[in-house]
Amino acid sequence: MEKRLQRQFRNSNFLLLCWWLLCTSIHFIVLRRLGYTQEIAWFDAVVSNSTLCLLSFILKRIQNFYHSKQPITVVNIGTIKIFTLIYLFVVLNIGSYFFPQDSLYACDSIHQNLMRGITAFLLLLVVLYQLWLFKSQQSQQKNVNHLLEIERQLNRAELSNIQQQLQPHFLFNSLNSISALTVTQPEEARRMVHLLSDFLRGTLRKEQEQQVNLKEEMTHLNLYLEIEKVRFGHRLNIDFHIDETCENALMPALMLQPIVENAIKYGLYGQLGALTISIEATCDKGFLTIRISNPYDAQTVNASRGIGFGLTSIERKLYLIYAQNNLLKIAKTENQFTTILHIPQV
Amino acid sequence: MKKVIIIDDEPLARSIVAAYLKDHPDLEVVAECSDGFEGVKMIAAHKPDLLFLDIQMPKINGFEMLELISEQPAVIFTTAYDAYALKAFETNALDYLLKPFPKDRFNAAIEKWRAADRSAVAEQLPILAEQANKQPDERLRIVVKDGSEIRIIPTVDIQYIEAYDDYVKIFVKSGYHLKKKTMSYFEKVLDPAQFVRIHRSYILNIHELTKIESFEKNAYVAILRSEKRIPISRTAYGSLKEVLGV
Repeated sequence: MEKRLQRQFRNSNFLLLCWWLLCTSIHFIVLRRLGYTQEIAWFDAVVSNSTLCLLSFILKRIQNFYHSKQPITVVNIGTIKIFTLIYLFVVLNIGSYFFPQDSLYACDSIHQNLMRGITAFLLLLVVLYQLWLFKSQQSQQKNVNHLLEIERQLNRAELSNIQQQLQPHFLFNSLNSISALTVTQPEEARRMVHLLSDFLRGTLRKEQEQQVNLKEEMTHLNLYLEIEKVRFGHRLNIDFHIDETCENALMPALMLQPIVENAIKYGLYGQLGALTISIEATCDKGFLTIRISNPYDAQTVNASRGIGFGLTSIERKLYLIYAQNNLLKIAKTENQFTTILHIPQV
Repeated sequence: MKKVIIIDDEPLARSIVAAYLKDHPDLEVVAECSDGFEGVKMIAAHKPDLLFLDIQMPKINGFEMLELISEQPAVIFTTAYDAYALKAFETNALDYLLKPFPKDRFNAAIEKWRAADRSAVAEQLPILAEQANKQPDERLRIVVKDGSEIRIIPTVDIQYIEAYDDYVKIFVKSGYHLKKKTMSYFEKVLDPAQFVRIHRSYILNIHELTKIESFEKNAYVAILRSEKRIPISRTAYGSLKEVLGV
């Protein structure tokens, strides 16, 4: 589609040539009718229309750099006015150089020069409008393509989100825990089955909705945390500091769980013994801010995974939704890793 | 009575192995460990016959733990899902259990272990661990044991590795660590863009290299940041130049 338009824009060169031929012929006929000699009629038709043609080319160049929202603007009309004056200046000078005696190029025949100027102005206006039309079609197509690309990327991000939620490691270990519980604590096993079902259902359903409020997101996160607590027992502690006034703040669905999963993974695998993850939410100045921090061991983690921390897909998703780059931040101290989310509240 | 140790960081995962083992009265669980450090200690203390070992665990993983014990018991891996490990298992006939596993599958693994030629199992294990070590994540660190202390060394901290009888000396800024491994093992496991075997007895981290001097005809020596001088063999000189891009 875009290629076709580019071709069209190139074809506009051909169009200009056609214009040139047509205008030159009409110009010639008009001058002949007015009683000018064949020689001077030819000369004037070619010179003035070539000048116009050249100016049209320049207009086209300008359109490439400056494309106004409307075809008729002060700048565009101003440009054409200046071009018309240039045209008059060029044609009259060349004409009076070659035919100094001819009345056609007499500077004092105001009526005649005015006619010439108005005609040139109208012609340039038509050319400009044509060029503007081409260009705006092209940029419209570009916009559509850009939107399509964003949508495609969002779809891809969503897909990878599902894959992240349904981490086989998490799923199979949870099932293994359930399997173990059926032997010793059947009641707990049943509870775990329900937790896991609710969590998975939430994961699948929320893919449809883009935005949820913080309360809903926390409910989903809690299901996940309950399961993890069963898996890891007393090793896992969660500290919540949620500002209640933020409960209705909106955020993209299913964003917290992968971050918390990361925190658990690097927290638990980076150290022995118990782990406390703190989750804090505040809202201020049009932003919902969520901080998730976990202790980590720089040596074990850096040596085993490098940086990244599996947060790139979150960063990407935020960028795709809000078109802002700095919404996900990471703060590292010697033994504390904090992920900070800034969600704009529009 | 045969002795069994269960090593897994999830208590419920350990409990199901222990529950399944109740059907085998000749097997006794002498210890349950929640991480590799405890595992190393308990294995040294009890000298078990059989190990149930998880792969992903705090600090050091199951493979890394195996590297730290001198007398390898028979091992049955228990893992949730690990594409790399699975690949390793496929190429070796050693048994593994994918979580969650049913009782019959567990019993089958035990029977397999009973029937197995024990020496063959012991031989296969290092190969297995080595394969698992080739996964990109594990290449970034090496686990060593200094006396009773276990250390995790990021490979970027390694200056060079020197052959030392059955061991290698892994040199870092603060000194060196001994590890019972071969030079060719490290040559395989470490990132070849960073570590080059420059001599029969030396593997060099090229980031440590400051200068190459020739001291005789066709004989070169590498000079490190620490001003340590290491000989470069004639055959290795070419491959070193290739890695350095000169």
